Amino acid sequence: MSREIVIDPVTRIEGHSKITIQLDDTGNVQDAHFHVTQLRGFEKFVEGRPFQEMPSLMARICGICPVSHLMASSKACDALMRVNIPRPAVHLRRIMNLAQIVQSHALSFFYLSSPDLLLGMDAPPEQRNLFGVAQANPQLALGGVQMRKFGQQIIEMLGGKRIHPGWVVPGGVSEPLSSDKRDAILKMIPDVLTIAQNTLTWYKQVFERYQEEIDSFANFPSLFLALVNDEETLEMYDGKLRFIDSEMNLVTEIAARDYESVIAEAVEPSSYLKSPYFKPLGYPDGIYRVGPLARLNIVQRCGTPLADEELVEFRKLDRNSSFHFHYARLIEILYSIEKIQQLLNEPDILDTRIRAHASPNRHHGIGVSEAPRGTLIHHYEINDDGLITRANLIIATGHNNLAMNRGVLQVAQRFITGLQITDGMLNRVEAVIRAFDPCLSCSTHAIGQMPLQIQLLAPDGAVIDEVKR
Amino acid sequence: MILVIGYGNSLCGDDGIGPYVVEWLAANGATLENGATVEHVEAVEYLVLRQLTPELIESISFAQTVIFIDAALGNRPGEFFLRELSPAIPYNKEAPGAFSHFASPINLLETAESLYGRRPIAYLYSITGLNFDLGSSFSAPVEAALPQLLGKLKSRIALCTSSALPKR
Repeated sequence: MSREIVIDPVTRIEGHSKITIQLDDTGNVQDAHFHVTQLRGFEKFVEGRPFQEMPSLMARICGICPVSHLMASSKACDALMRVNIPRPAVHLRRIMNLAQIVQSHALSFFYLSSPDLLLGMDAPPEQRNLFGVAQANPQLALGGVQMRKFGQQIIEMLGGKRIHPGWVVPGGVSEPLSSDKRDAILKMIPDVLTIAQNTLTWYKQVFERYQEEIDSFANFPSLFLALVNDEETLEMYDGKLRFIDSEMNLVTEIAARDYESVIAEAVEPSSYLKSPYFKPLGYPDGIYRVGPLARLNIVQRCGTPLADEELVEFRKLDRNSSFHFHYARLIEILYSIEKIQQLLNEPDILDTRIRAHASPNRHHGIGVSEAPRGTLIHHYEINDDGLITRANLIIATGHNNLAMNRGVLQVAQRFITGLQITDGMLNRVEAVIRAFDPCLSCSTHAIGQMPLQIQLLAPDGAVIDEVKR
Repeated sequence: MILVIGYGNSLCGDDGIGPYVVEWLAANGATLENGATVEHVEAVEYLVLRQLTPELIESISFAQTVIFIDAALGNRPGEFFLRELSPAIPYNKEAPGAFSHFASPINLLETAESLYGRRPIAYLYSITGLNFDLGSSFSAPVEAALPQLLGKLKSRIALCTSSALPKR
């Protein structure tokens, strides 16, 4: 085995994507699109499977956010069984969902976005990554590693494994929480709270350097969508669906199970990623955003002390700029840590009554929860034998599709000049998408390392310039 | 501690070879020359992952040796290669992708060194796959290569752990 052989490693990309930027006759950017060029087909191949299998099947959609799919899927199955799950099981599901949000947000902020913020949008690509951050600001990089580990450890403790835990089941959870595990998680909280606060302090010192990006990174009026509870505090697990407008005024609020009355999905021939839109405004005017920015825009307060203090400052910003997804993500990390602590101190958290059992009692089941990237909807229909006859999934990245496309156009028009793509232009186009943190992992596959292709097109469609990353 | 990491998507055909062999090793152990089995060696930790992510950096920094096992693209399905991931090997320092969530073995090793001051000895076993479509079975060439691959891995783990084993 001493031969020198070049191997293309099979990398774990989150699906393939492509950005096309169309120029007009004068060389100015006329249009731009973000395409997802890979099909998964989960909705189709689950047809005929017993509904009880859905949580574990759906968790396989994604290696990054399996917990989110597990959560929404189990809730849809709860609805099929028509059960109210025991209160301790709700607490435990919430804890796992929050741990998922912490680890996913940590990956997005520290791993993908902090290099831009620390090293600059125009820094050489070979430096602009976590490994560059480790050199320039080891504390920031260490904080990212520790924060991510915190979320993953909780998921592993509760679910038995980090990826695809099978602990969340229709009707509740499969095992109660032990006092040892509760104490072990509580013991980790002070350190990660400090990391979250320090990171927020650092972020607030640097983000204003990026005013041009704040002004142009998907900064436009749109609706926002998130779950909301009766207290109007941050809600990641349950509640009603609320739409607000760009002035933060209520547009509509409906029961989550009625999502089809206000959300429809359009299909563009150039992308496998569907484009959900707000029905009353039609397509494509019914553009809306989900995720951390939407959630913080929608709630009145977070509901935990430290996150509420941060929310006051956050609300002074231009909350239509998608650049502030980063800030919102950090506040949600802080909130999630505080909320996990609160839930672990609930008096019934160690209760052993954690699961409701039932046969299917309904042919339709809809489960909605907040995933790190936004509202996640699982909708199943079954026959009398409990076999799936139809599945519809609306994932957070899909909700944001129209906004990401408009954001790419806005950034391209602002930063792309001439007939060649420079690295600074390229990075800003990428960075606006990174702000949304799309999880194309829903199309995780193995076709080499080519997560992104950017094409500059002439008015006749000819490729003028092309960059692959 | 010897860290054995198999990564890949077990629902994408040959991409699941890394997870499969590590699960096999964790379940069956590897009989070593002195009669001990690797499964009983506390110094070996097996990890099955969909993809490599940054939180592994800390565990990697604690390890004496890390063995990565992954599928690969190539012209000869079923072939497998061993590379020692030594600091002397040049590598592309660019981030793996614009908004991708994975890390490469080299990235993790380099960052372990810069954040924790320790970079373990590391090896990468790459197995060339043929079929990466949806499905949990392996292609015929990969299936045929499995016994030899498992033998090589057992030997490598034995070699790495021999100094930590009790003498009989």
